This record gives sequence, C-alpha cells and structure tokens, in this order.
Amino acid sequence: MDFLNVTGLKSGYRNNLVIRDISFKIKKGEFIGIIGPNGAGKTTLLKTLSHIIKPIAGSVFLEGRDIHLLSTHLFARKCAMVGQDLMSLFSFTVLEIVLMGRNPYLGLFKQEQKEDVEIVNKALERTNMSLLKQRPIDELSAGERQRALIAKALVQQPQLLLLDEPTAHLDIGYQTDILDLIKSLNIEHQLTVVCVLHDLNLASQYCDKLLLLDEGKIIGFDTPQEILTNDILEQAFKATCIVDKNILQGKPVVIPFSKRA
Amino acid sequence: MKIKPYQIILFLLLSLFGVSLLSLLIGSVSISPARLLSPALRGILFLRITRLILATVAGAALAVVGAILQGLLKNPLADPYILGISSGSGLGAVIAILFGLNLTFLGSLSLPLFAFLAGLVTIFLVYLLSKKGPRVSTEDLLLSGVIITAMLSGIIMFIVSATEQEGLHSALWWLLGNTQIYDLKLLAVVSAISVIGIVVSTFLARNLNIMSLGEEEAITMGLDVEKVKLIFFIISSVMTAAIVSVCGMIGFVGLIIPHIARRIIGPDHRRLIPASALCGGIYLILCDILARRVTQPVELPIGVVTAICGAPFFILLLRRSRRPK
Repeated sequence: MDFLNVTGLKSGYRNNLVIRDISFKIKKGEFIGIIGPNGAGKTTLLKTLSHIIKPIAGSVFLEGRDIHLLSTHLFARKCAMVGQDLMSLFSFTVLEIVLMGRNPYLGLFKQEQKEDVEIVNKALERTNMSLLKQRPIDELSAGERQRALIAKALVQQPQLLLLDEPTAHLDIGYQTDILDLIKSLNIEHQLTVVCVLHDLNLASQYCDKLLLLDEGKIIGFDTPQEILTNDILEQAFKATCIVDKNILQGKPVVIPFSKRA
Repeated sequence: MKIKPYQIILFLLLSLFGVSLLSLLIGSVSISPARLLSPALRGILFLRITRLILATVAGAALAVVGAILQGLLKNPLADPYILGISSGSGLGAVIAILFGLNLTFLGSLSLPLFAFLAGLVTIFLVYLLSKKGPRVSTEDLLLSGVIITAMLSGIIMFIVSATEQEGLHSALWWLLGNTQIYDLKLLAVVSAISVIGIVVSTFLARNLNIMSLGEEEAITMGLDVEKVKLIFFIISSVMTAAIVSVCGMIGFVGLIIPHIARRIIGPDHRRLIPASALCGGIYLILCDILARRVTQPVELPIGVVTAICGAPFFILLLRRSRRPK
C-alpha cells in the first residue's frame, strides 16, 4: 500500500480552479520536492494536503484513509506543516509556541501534562533550540525561528511533514542548516517529507524525487536528474538555463541564464 | 529575580482588595470606616457596595472580552464594541428611554432587557453578514462590525436629535456609561454571566493562543477553528451585551487593559485572561472614584473618565519596554 495516494485531485478557491486533476503516489520515508513556476499551484496543493482547503474533487489517501474524512484534530497527529515564517502578533516564547504543537493530543478544555513537556523538551534538544527556549519568538533570527517551528511540528509526532518554502527568508548558511535538519529527521524517523522549494539547486540536492507542477498539472514526477533538464525547465519556467553536474554528488546544478547575453 | 505569574496574580488580587476598600470609604463624600458601618448609614453602604460590585464586574468582563477578541481577530485594536454590540444595545436603550417603553410586567428591567436583546440581535446580524458557507472570515467580521456600528450610531444620533430635551439627558447619560444599579437581581445576573464567562474562557484559553497564530497555522495544528471562533464569539457577545445593558458604553477599558496585562504577565491567554479581569476591575473602580470626586457635587459619566485617564497612561506604557524578561 502506498503511504500517500493522491487521486484525481481538483482543488482551488471560489471560481478559481488551481489544481486541475492530478494524481501521484508517495512511498513512506521519501523526501519529495514540489517545484514549478509562480502560480503553478504548489502552495494550493500543499494546503489541500494539509487540510487547510478541501478538495473540489478527488481524494488524498494517507495509509489508505481519506484524510478529508478525518477530523482536523486527528489528522494533525499524522501530518504537520511548517510555513515560510511565523508572524505572531504576540511575543510568545519559543517554549510556549512549541508546546502549542501538542494541541492534537489535547481536548478543548485540557491543558498540557508532564509527558507533553517532556516531548517538547526532546524536540527542542533535537532542533538545538534548548538554550533559546525562554526567548520571545519574535526576537529570534529567521533561521532560529524556523528551527522552533520545526520543533513545533515534531511534537505533533507526525508521519508526514509538509513544508512551504521553509528556506525562503534564510541566508545560504541557514538554508542548508534547515534542510540538513529536515533531511536527518527524514532518515532517522522514516518521516515522509513533502516540501515546496523555489531554489532548484536545493531541491536537486535534498529531494529523492521532484514533482514539477505547471498550471495546476503535473509536468513531471521523477528523480532530480530526470526533471532538471534544459528542455523541461525551458518548457515550465520559460527560462534558459545552463544545467551542469555537482562534482561532489553528481546531482544536477541549474544556473539561470540571462536572455540578453 | 524573576517574578512568577502567580505572584503577579496575587499582587493584583491584593490591589483589587485595596482599591475596593478605598472606593467604599470615599464616594462622593468621604466617610470614616466606623461611621460607614453604623446603622444610620446602612443605605449608603448598600449603594456603595452594589456600585463597587458592578464596577469590578464590568471592568473585569470588558477587559476579558477585549483580550479574547484581540487574540481571536488577531487585531491589537479590537475591543468589546468593535463588532457592533454597543451601537445595537445603545439603539435599543435609546428607544426604550425616549419612547418610554416600559413593559409593565418588566418594570425597571425593561431597559436592560431591551438593550441586551438589541445587542445580541445586532451581533447575530454581523455574524450572518460575515459568514461564507461554513466559514466565518475574521476580516469580514471586523468590517461588518464597523459598518453596522456606523449605521446604528447614525440612527441613535437621528433619534436623539429629533427628540425633546427631557429624555435627551438620560439617554446621553446612559450612552456615556454609569455604574449605578438599584436592582439586586439584575446585579446578580450580570455578575453571574461575567464570572462564568471569565472562568470558561480561562479554561479554553489554550485554544485562543493557537488561534492567535493565524487560522491556517491553527488548522495545521489540529484546531477546529470554526468551533473555537463560534464558542468565543458567543461568550464575548453575551458578556458584552450583559454589561452594556446595565452600564451603557464604558469605552477604552476593553482596549487598553489587555495590552497592559500582556506587558505585566505575557501573552499566554491562560494567564492573560485572569490578569486582564483583575486589572480591568481595579481600573474601573479607580475611574469610578474619580468620576464621583472630580467635579463634585456633579458626577461625571464613567466612560468620560476611563477615556481621559486611560489614553495618557497607555501612551506611557507604549513607550516603555516590550515584555518583562
């Protein structure tokens, strides 16, 4: 049985169909990158996978169960999400924010117990955030904040981790730092990762397979070597690129090329 | 030294007790403790106690609703009246006062009852306006609240300007807020609604923390956001309508007190709600003392005092540091 099975999915907003009938399967423990031009439907697809929007047609099966038939509360035990950044109106501490990740295991009136605090402390250690746990989240650097948000996702104890451009606001040091962290969680816990990435070179290095979307349809779903080719990139991004190989890993390297040159 | 949250709450409780005593001793005239307890002044003592209770309850409830709505709507400018409840209750009260609407079997209760129901009808209207399918958008909730408030305030002004002098004064007095109450049963009902509202929202406050991170974030953390919105919407509507129906419009408490409390005790709503309740009570008791003292023998509407004293105090706080470390 496939871990995640998306069949005939159509999704979008009122009067605006964004995802137009797509189907794909993901195995447990895979690290999948979703790439594609602006407006291709990457974020919409992720929001549909994460219960934020309901599909117009088709289904998403997680271990054989239709996720949109599960309650949001129960689904959050199986799947967690990390966005680009967290803009909190109030300055909660890192510890307060990460504790909120235990919500899927707590009823409306229930407060966190000792076990919840233990799980949170472990996640803070794993993400190297223990020393910063009393700091207000809005006083952290964007990279530290991403680590905190990954810790918050971890305490949901998910099997599927969705990420929406987790490195969008980060410098190159933190880009690899965050993705290395996600990759190691992916390997250690057989955590399945689906990650929207704009940076094709990061996508090439970290992902087992790339799902290339354009205009709400799948253009290709294969290894980085098969997807990141001149022809496909030209077709999807209308961009001329030089595609080379990373001498260390043999993975494709994409260099955008000025049309004026 | 780090001050623990329970120490802050304890300090606030003691302060509440202190200002309560102060308010009993200095009303419009100062009375010594011994004389206040004498049988001859029992009437005054009774009036001062009921007034004190109402000021405490009203301040606490308004501050708590402000804290709830600021978190729920993710908007630091939210206050208990932002969704239009005050204008609805105001219109109900003005109609009741100016058209002498005294349903015989209700007697003096007809005004608060009419204001209460008018407030709830208004907020329900605002709710329906912002409902799209199964979801309620918080942005639309804010916008429809502002629009309904503008329209109903216009109607209030129209009615007030088109009527004779007599009723005018009592209507304006009501609109500017007061803490006088003569009906013990009414006081009991309003107090019960407020206390229940504060306790229930404290126990539900964890959900409010998650909600304040944003709706999509909250959904991915497994929160049933529509349910949480509806529950807090009902709690805050009923509490506000109850307070407005007996006190009129006491502005500013619900806006500034949550910000002050947040600076004292942090943003976790489980501590913020009790702290806001205590700070709100203390603040309104102090304002009530001022309202009775400043322009003796004439009493000021308390809404005037809360706004005039609150603004400078808040500006002072805004200029200080963000959060106690």
